[in-house]
Amino acid sequence: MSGHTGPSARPAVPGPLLAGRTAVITGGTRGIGRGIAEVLGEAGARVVISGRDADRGRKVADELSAPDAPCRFHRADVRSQPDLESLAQFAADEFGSLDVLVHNAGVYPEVPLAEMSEADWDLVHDTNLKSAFFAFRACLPRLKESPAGRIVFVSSITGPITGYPGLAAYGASKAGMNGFMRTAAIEVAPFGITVNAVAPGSIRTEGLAGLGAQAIEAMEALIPLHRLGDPRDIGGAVLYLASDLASFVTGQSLVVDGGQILPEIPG
Amino acid sequence: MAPETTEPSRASPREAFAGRVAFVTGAGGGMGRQIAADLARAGARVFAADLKDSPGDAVDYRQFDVTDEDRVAGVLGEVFAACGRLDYVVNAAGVGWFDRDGAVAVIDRGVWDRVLEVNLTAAMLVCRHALPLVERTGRGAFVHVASVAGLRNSDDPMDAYQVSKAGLISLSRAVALQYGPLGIRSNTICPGAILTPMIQPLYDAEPARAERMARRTPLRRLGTVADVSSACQFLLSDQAAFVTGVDLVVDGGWTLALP
Repeated sequence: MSGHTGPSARPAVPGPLLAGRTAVITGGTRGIGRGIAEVLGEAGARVVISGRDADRGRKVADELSAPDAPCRFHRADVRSQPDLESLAQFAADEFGSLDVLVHNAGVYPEVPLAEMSEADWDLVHDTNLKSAFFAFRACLPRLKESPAGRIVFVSSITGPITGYPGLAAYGASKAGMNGFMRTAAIEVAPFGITVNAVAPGSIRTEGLAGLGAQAIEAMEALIPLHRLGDPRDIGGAVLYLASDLASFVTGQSLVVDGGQILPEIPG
Repeated sequence: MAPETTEPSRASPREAFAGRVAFVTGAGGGMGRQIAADLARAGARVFAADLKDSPGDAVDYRQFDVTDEDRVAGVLGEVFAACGRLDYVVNAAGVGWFDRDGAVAVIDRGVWDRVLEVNLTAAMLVCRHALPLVERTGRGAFVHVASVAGLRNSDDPMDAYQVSKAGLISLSRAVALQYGPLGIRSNTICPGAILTPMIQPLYDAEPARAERMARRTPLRRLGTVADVSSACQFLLSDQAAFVTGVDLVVDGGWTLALP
């Protein structure tokens, strides 16, 4: 046999990476989710963003819409399986397919374990982890119909790799998400669907706005690339995993942290 | 019979690397050759290196031994003199002597030394002499082609190969940590079962092996050099501007399940 040894031919002028694909992004109206929506839209995807605030969601969808890459908002609380089924149905009705699920919605309240209530724990786990199962289940039938079904979970370095005071429930939910991701990847591989995660480090989102310049500088000093990540940096990683370029990548967690986890003793 | 493989149908924007200069080792065949060709297709000026004869692609080809430090330094100096910059470095040179590699108790010392020299020491030499040039360019990125064998051990021992790849992973992290503040990133790709000329003799000797490997891979196929090249393009590109010190496993899910 031969043929595989030489460089493979590629289209001379390839189209955008996600042209003709429909992507659903939970929690896509702000922060990292919005950055992902921007990047996937620029890559030609038709995008549906979900969130709980409909006024905000519609405004963001209008801002992100482009003539050849429309963006729509659909209200969904990710703690609700019916809401997520409605979201998947909306994407299929609006755009005729569902090819990419990006499950990004999550909460990160800081509560020391000594003060953490069962309700605190449940809120984080319902919103961050149970929702991954719900979103997966709601989107799977349509992802199976896609020629290149893709699921990308937005996890974190906190939990799967590191710890942080006050984020025990959050860290457990994100570590749980990675565990879910690995088995889901094996189960849906026969359908040609890949399941991966991205693990953001410190990203410049609305959540950091109140910290002040000095605290931001201190954070940047701990990161080898000497800057915080931008939501669009997470978008770039998600775009790769959602595209045909990553058709042989599944069950992976791609860290996007500027090298923050590399040193033995940070700083 | 060759297993069916799927080539990615879309590539990065054609001019994603326009105006950039790349140096790719191991470009005489397999993954390195595809990586060099794809970078050139994406607009980069590519300098390719290998001990093998040039495969005749449209890249500037230098035939030499990457374990020869003087030659490494000399060729990189020529690249920088010709272009005034060096943006990307890909360490794809590697050997896998699967017929002579083996368990620590019995492996031939000469085989061990040569595998470590080509797969690990040569990459260190390339980094040592390329880093000051990338630093002068302002920013840039390194990709090293490691292996899932650097992360997990094979039950069919090939200790020199896997130790060399584990070392390459550690080398990449060292570059990432030390040169991050200068805007230089470093990552590895850890391919699983990929159809390459290096592995082909194993499949020729045992045709059922390819089929068995594909069946044991969750995505039900072997990988292609294009799968690896796509990962390399992502890691070099600005799309991965905040990604450094990672090991991107491209194995179709091979290492997910226990055997």
